[in-house]
Amino acid sequence: MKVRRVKNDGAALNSKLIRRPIQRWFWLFLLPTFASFCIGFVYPFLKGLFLSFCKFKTTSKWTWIGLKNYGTIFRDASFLHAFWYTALFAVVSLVIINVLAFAVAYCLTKGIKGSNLFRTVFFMPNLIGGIVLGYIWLMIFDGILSHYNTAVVLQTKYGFWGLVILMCWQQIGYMMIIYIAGLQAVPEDMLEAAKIDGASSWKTLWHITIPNVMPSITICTFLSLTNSFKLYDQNLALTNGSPFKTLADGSVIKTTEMLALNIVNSNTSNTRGPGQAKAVVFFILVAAIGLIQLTASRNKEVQQ
Amino acid sequence: MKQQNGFRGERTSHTILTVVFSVIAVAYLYPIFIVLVNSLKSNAAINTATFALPNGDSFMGLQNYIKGMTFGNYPFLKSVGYSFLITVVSAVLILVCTSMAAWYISRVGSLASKIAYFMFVFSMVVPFQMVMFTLSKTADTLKLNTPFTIPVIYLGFGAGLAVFMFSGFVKSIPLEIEEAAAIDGCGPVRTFFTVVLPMLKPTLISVGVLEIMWVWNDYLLPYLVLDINEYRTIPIHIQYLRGSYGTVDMGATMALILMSIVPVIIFYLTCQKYIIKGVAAGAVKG
Repeated sequence: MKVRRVKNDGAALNSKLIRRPIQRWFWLFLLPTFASFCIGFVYPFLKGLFLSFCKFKTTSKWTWIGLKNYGTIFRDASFLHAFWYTALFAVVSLVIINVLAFAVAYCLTKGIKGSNLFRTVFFMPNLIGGIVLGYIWLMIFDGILSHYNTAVVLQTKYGFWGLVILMCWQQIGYMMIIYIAGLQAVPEDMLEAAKIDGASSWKTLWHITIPNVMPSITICTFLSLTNSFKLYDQNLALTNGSPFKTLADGSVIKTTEMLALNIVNSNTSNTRGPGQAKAVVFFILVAAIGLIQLTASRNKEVQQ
Repeated sequence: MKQQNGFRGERTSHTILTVVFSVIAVAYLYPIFIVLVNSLKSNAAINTATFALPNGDSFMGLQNYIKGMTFGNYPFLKSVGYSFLITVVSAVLILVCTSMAAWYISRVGSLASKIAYFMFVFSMVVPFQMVMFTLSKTADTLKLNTPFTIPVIYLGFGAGLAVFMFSGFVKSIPLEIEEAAAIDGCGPVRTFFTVVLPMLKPTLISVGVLEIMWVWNDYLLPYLVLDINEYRTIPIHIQYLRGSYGTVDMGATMALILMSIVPVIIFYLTCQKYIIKGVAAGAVKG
């Protein structure tokens, strides 16, 4: 690429030597991935988008109904509840996970004995799948709560805090790794200068370390946000929405059901249209978070 | 690790930190330990005294493991086999195909390849729930609903991140190396496999780790695509056992959970360095 910009001869050479020959092998290099990508993503995505404007039971039998599905879901109490519940969970877990992960990373980069071992241990839960994690913690919570003659699935607050604890256990190690990478990149001379000037460790942390790890903080903040919004397996395994609450109009709300689970549960033959509309709204939400993150980290790059 | 000793009192604070972290680390591992303990206990003992060590009455030996093997009328080892098959084939397929695609996209740079790249990047922000219904129907129509063909779906849905990570790295490889190979009469296929691919090794490992962790632990995609009476992966099997109605056999479930996390922990301990690096690389994707 660089060659092309420098001189025209280079462009011709590059084109003849590299570009043309590769293009002739299009079917080998690009086609397998692109064909699978169309099957596994492009077609289902477009069809899904289209079907969100239709009434349908199977993908082949549909009738266009415009925006009716979207009207339905914004009057759907269970969907709105799932949205606010997810948002609350996202904020609470975001704060707890990031504060703890940063604290752990900060201590582990101080050169204490056994740092590597601790890092290994804290990261380990990340490799265990969500379903298995959910059942491990369900057993533990129920083991504790059975002494008080209750269970996780019986109260919304147990389900909520249970999921927060579970996610902390899983995610702290992950975020810690990112923070450690950020902390190790803080310029040594800045820290030394602060020490020589007699800055306290708090002041050094606030005025030197934290501003320098801002990129890591941005990444972790958005990661925990998207993780919370997309959370499905753990939610399914731990409570699967229990306990249920019946509203005055007879509709049932699953009080610990998060967005992703709510959408998957709408995937029954009678609510497929609204379910697909929910999925589109969900996609826009997650994509918006992703785009904000992208611009945020781009801006950081420019500054450096 | 940074060495910041040199101030008095830091040494004692370090010792205190080591002790504190040792305690936290033990607490961190406790859930796994309690799974091990309970996999050796009888069901009654698990429900009444979850955190007690097995004693004479409640100790079951390996009985839970034996029961777990055929639990739920489905051999556990079959689900392990399917999980292995799907994970290995998908990871290899993704690594080979997407690295080639990323090279093509970065080197050709035509409008079409730029559009393809944009689509791949776009797919990274789309949650699975958006495509789940239509994808499972498409998979049924195209007969991609068996463990032998589902890797195609994984390649399709997972291509975005992999192509993105590979292209990022390919762009940093100087073009001169490939030009030299071309001048020496090396065709694109040979250039890619003998010159480019070896240089991609760090990214291959990172992407490989991410894909393995994703596919191995994935629940919803195989649950919707596969016929679960015939084909179950480990997460599907465990969810099926716990989610089905009637009394739940906790002891056997704990035995299965332990058996399903032991390979993961061994994998983690042997390739720890690469796993942590790969995960960090995937996170910083932006």
